[in-house]
Amino acid sequence: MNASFRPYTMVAELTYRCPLRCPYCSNPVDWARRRGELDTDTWLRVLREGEELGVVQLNLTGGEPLLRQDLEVLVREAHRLQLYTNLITSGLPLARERLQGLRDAGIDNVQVSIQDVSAAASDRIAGVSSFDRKLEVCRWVKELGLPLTVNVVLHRGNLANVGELIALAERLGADRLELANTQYLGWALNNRQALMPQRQQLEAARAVAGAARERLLGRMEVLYVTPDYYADVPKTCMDGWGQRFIVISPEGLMLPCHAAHTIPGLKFENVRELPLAAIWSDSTGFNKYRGEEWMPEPCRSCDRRGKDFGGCRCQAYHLTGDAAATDPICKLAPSHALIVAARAATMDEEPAFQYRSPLRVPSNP
Amino acid sequence: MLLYPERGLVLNATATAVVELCTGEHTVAQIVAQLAGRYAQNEAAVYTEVTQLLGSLQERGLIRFEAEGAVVP
Repeated sequence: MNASFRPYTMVAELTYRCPLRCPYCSNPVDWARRRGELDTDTWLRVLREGEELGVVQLNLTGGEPLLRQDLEVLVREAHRLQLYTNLITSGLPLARERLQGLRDAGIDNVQVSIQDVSAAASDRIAGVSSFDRKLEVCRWVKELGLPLTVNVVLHRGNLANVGELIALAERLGADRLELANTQYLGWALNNRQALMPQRQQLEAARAVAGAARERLLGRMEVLYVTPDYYADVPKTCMDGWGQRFIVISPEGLMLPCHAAHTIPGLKFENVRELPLAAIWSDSTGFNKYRGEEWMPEPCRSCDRRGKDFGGCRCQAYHLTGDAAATDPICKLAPSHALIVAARAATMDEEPAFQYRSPLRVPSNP
Repeated sequence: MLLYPERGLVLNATATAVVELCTGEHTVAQIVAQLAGRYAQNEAAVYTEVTQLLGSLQERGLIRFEAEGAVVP
């Protein structure tokens, strides 16, 4: 393995359980069948071994990480290891006292998701009444002296509200606003037609976000993540497969990204059974798409192969059935017509959401 | 390395020396004076470099200038 591959960031998915039911959730669509969460001691060992491997950033996420009763214990250990610890949360269920306890344990940043600018619109996406509570949590974060990131996933239903979303984040005193267009994987791929915007909506939102970014420089960082379906070149997914990131799934699989285990035929090891260092260097799943050896044409001879690493492997698999294909986003990809067709399909009427839910058990015939 | 949400900024030795003085107890003028003394450099040159660095960190929201003149992480 190339010695320059070093994990800087660990994404700890503490649980797939969540009170929200967002139709663009990035958890696997079969999340409810993936049982058996890691226990506290295993997570503590994972944090220590991650730090030894070079991890400096820790994202505590899920599902909803607040559903883990041992969150404080994990935060305390992360703080002792001097990891920069970001709590990525829906804000539910949380009491002010618990947030204060998490601050005292050493949380460095709190990222709260908001779905839209009004309770009605936000709760419609979340699938549960939550908006007012989220705003209250944002206020607690600032009152307790913690840095606040507000995260909004963008789609055709809220792109027109980007200006109001920026104003809301300003009123909340956010230090950072992440306006992230939906990535069409997992639940979002199932809901693509209901979520995907048209180009003019995106361009209008990008202009609003760009102007706000300039205006708020030094006060609130405004990040606008472009959707790859409207780009000509693929995103640099995870900064390259197995190069900078480690994701630990709730059941203990160590992964190059949060969806890698949805690609059939790849073998990923469980941290219950092996040390992280051994998985990082020897895992066949991690090594499969590292570097350039695996690349097909047109990637193999492309000038951008060291920049975008061929794009997203999960997207390649879920759209073409071949995880080693060039990401269809790329205009040079043989399968790019799939993306053109998906963009054209946004002209159709908006279908209803398929909300995130446990898989339905088929009833007896 | 200066860490903030989802990113890190690798500082060189000079930038590290400046950021280590951004404790909330020193003004920009005090930081410049200390560094100029420590490295035996002209204060005006140090002032230019320090304010450029602090300006770019402030734009990223990584430091702020207090009303009393102190630089706060």
